[in-house]
Amino acid sequence: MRKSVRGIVGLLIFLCLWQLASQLKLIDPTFVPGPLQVAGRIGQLFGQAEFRVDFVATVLAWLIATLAATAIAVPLGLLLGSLPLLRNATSAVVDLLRPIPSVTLIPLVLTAFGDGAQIKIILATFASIWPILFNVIYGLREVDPLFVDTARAFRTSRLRTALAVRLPYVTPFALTGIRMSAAISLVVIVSTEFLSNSGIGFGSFVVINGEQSGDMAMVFGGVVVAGILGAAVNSLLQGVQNRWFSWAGKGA
Amino acid sequence: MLDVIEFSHTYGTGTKAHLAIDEVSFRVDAGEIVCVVGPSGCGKTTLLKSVAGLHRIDKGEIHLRGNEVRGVPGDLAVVFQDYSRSLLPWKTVAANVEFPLRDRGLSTVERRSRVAEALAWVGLDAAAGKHPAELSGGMQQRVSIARALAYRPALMLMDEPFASVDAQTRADLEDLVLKVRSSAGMTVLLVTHDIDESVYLADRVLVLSPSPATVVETLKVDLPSPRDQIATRGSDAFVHLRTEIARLIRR
Amino acid sequence: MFANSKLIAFVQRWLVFAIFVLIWQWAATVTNNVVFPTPLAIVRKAQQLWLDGPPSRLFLGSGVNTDILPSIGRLAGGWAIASVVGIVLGIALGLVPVLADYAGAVLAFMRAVPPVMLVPVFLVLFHIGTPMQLATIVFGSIWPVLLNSVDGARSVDPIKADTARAYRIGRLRWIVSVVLPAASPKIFAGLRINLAFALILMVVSELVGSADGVGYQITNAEGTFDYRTMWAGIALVSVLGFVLNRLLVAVENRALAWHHSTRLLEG
Repeated sequence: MRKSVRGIVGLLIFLCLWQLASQLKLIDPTFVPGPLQVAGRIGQLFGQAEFRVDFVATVLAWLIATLAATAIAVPLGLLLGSLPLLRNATSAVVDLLRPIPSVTLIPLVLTAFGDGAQIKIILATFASIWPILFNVIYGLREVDPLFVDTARAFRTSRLRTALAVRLPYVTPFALTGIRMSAAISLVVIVSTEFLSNSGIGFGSFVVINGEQSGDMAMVFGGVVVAGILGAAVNSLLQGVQNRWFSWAGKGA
Repeated sequence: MLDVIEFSHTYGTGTKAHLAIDEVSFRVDAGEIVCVVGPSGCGKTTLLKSVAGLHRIDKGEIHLRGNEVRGVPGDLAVVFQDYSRSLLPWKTVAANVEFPLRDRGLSTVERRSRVAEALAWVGLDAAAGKHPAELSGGMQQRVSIARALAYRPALMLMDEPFASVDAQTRADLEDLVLKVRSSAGMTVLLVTHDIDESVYLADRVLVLSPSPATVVETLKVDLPSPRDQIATRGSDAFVHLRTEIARLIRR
Repeated sequence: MFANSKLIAFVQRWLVFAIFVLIWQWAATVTNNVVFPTPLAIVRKAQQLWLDGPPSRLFLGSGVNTDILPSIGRLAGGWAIASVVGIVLGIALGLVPVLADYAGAVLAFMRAVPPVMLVPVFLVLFHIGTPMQLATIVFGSIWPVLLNSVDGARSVDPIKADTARAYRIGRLRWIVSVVLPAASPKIFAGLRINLAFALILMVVSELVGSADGVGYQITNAEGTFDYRTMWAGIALVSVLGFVLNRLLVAVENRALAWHHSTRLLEG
């Protein structure tokens, strides 16, 4: 059996066990609805125009946040990675800023930037900069000195060495970082919507219509949709990475 | 000691099947050093791994001390070419040598004494507390040999053990193998691509053909014992033998 | 010589940090907004909240018991459970590729779920209190160490596997004495990430599901517009994260000393 087929089989087994547990009342269906119920709810949701609008709003915000994080973190990472002095000097500040959960910054960002989609994008960007940053720095450090020495032996200019040797080497690491960053920014965006009652976005929808009214099927539906979305994007990016950057081996 | 009877090995199945070894038969008597030589990729390592029980035996039989080999036999030890990846870098030299002994029902005292003995044998008693990364390539391979010795196997299998060390160290390690056989009475089956090495060490040399490998010839090495790196290698008999083997391989 | 360069690096880092704080102090003073207190004001508030005790207790006051200790307890407990389960499960999946194949799709889905969304589910299942928080922390932070353990177990050298088989090393000893140490560099990398996640989830789970702890204090302060306390809480989380990470790195350096020296030699 091929690997992907096994994965699907595993998923089906899991769903069957879940449905069974629900029907046998092993788990209380009002608290944890069975998969068929949840699937039905999801179908219902996508039938509602309001939900579709919210869903697209979330995906859009997430896309922007990921792109913003990439645009900031890649150049920053390249800079810090190339200048060990700078990297060390900023390390204390970085190590103190990184642990701050972005959700605790919601009220602050709310006050500073007002309501709206900007908050969650800003927070998601802040939270998802770190994986890209660290991966790029790590990647630069891992460039095989043999490659660089070979370039130097051929008297290649520093700029060309940077572009033709270091940059391609760093790219797989950067991609892994971007993949992690996409996952984190989706989580942060949905979490922010969930916790800040902003009214826009898929997380908000689930909170207002689901959690607050005790509609657990809706909450689970939201969970499943978020999970599938995140897993699908991760698979896609992994596929891109494997297809275009398989030469990198398992280092990244 | 070791009997290989019409042993064949095929890689893959169906259309991708590739016959690597074609009905090879030979024997190794107790206390002998037998070297297997052949061109690159002819299947020498596969043969060795099959004797070690690391490959499943499709066709033919392998008998060790009269018992048929099914799975890994309990009284042989293997020394691989890549010593750095075979030793455990997180353990000390002594701990590495002791590692295979732990499930063999020996008391701590017995284990420790075997370890000390083996390390003294290969000349590494001073390095017992070091980690492999602190040792040179030759020393790491000695640890690997010490580990095999401490295990007290009936048969020691060596897979191109000196291919990754420099020439000086190789000479020392070759002499160590001779010493292991003469003082400890060990039986050794050694695979190598180095013709000179095979003649220097062996009592008999098995020459394999290119893939699918068959035994082209078994040569008895009648060189005097004890062997010496300079004297033996310079003798007419030695030159004659190595030329013969080179000819057989190139055919 | 070596010690000197380390000292210089240390000084450089903290100098930059000091400059950062000074700029912050200046910016906060100039904007004079209640929502953005100065670092000085935050430190004073923190002192008031937690550091008003006697010198014999390292100045730790009673506030520590209600605010900080419960949080650290949940964090430590959640992280420990997530780590142990993640490592055991990860190694099992790494060593039995067929199992990993079957579990692949389900795990990929589960790890993509935003843990915050599961908070209502856990609230319903466990009600307010520590079990709910532990569940949130464990579920949300298990993935990095799980994935890294799988990866680590998979990347054990085949030559070591052959050697172990040739010497007939027992299965349990193989796993404990070879696979685990071989995978430990990747496992530690995963542990560092899951510590960061656990901290975030501890705070998040306390925002909604708790009556004590740092997260509760932050959200409570925000609700009563007590911004100094809120910022003090955030600063506390930051310091906690920094200190715990440093501790883990110190443990890692000792445990992986053999690995670092190997890489040094290769480099």
